[in-house]
Amino acid sequence: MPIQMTDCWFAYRHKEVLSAFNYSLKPGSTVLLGPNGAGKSTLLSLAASVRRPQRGAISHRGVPATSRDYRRKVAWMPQNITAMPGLTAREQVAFVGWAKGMNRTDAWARAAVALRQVDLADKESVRSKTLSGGQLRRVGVAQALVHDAEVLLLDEPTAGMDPRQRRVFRDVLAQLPSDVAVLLSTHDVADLAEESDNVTVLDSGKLVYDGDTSGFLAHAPHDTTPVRRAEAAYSMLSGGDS
Amino acid sequence: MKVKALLRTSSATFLAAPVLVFTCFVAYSSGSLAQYDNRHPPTVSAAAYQALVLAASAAAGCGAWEAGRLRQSGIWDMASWRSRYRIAAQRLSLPGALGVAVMVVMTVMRFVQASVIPDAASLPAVAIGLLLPIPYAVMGFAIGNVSRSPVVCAPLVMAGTWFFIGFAGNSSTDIPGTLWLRHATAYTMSSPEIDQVISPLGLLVPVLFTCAVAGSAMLLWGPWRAAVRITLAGLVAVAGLATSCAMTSGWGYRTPMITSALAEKCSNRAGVNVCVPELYQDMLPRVQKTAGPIVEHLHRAGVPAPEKVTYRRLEVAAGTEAWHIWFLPRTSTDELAESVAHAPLNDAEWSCLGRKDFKRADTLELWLRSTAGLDAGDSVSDRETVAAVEKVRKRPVGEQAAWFAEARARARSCGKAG
Repeated sequence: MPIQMTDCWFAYRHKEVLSAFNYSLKPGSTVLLGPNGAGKSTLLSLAASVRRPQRGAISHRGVPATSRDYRRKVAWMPQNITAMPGLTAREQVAFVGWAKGMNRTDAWARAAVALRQVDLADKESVRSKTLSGGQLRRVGVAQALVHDAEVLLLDEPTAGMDPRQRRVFRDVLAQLPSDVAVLLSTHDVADLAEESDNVTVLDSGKLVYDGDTSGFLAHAPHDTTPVRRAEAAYSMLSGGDS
Repeated sequence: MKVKALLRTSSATFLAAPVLVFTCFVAYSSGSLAQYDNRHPPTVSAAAYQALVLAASAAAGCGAWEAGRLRQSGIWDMASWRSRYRIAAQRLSLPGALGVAVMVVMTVMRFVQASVIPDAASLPAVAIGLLLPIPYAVMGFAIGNVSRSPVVCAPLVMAGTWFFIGFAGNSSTDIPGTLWLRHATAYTMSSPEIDQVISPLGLLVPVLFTCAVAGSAMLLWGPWRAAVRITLAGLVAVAGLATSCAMTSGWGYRTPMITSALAEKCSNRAGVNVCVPELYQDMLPRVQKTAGPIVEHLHRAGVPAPEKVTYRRLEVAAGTEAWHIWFLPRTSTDELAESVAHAPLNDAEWSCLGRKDFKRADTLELWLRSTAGLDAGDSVSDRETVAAVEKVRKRPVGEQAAWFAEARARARSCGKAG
């Protein structure tokens, strides 16, 4: 499995988020759904090894999340993408590539490719501080793409993107090699769920649904129009809170 | 990050020009040339430590700024493959380089001002001086890493470092128990005399102190659990501080030195035998020419002639009646003459006599000067003393000799007792 979480426990100072949590990320793309506070960002940051579970283990094809190799193979786009002061978009993406283990030359070359993939080639020499919120999120996606990771973990990658940018983003996902696993959280249920291979629904730190997309859509009432099927299925699974 | 981007975004780049210009200004305007104008390279390299307060402050301030900017950029939340230390090192390279550049500029300017070429004996102090700003950059980084705003933190760290090193250098002698900080920061590195080099321990202590604090700070932002980080950092800090404190106990005010024997060059001409260090052998004719007449004048007035007039740092055989004088290559002939006229009593005797019987010391000094044929210069003697000296000088030579012998005997017994 691309990422395996076994018996993981995680709590912030006063709040338990995940307890005895088991999860296997499947190959292909997986959309992570859940209401605010369900633990989506915590799950993603644990899988990205930004945080460590207080108990339990996380691994990728046998490589534990505590090892540096794990971090090289797993790409991570946090919810908040910050413009790095003084750097251009390409320099920012290349810097992340370098931090993820690429040498400077490769990171610089791959940064240009990644920015092209997210349709930001014309902004590569622009200071990232001057980019709009949507453009900055695309820089974030480029940061996740730059080092050719085996797993992409994206926390609300489409938040703040306009419809055209979302289309570009979906194209990027569609063009990824088939052996790359993607786990992305989103509130845009209708937008992404139907195009993904799998869906995971989290509520209060518990897995409510984890399976393929057709199984997920089957939870929608029979009289739902095709356009609203994903939303309806999600409402059924999460008790209506979105 | 590409070097060009690093240069463009680093605070050290923006601070480099004003800091280096200020360093040149300080080097040009501050400090007395006499402190290091002795042709002895280790003295010159020690004089460059004057810039340490500036180098360390600039490095620490920039380090704090870089830490704050890195934190704001979110790189610590990117699950990097490269270690935090590697990423920090990249951003700290320029602040560290700025601190090193300040020390390089000061060192070069001091050597140029003193017209001296560095030798092997001076290089350890130069190397340590160049190294010392780097731990301060790390300390600044550690503080900046936990602060909210680099805009507030960086200037505070810069000013705090300046105050700390300045305090340690200048005020620690007044506060009991803090003298070790003077040695630990190395800002007020003592000047070696021409037969001295700073002892390896004198150089090791500031390295130990700064590296312990910086190392402790580095451990605090390591990748381990908080309890492990805090324990390790505490152990390193306590061990480093305690060791450096223990090493400096009993050192006193001056940095410990290693003293070696000086080779001397003596005049072979008839008359007074004058010896100078080999380093100053070109000055021998001038010293001989200045000392000869003064010794003769004083001898005619009843002062016993010395077996030799020698440089203060030169060893003199036991039982030899020698006068010790002190000078530097740029010492004027007038100052040299004053030193010779002052030499019938040694420093300890003058000091003790001045403390116990100031009037007699003042009278004796004025008598020696006027007998040697020197003008009163900046003498502060009062009318009463001047009148007393005039009265003594009008006496027959035998009486003057007896008066001097009594004054000197009193000074010697005082010097031995005190």
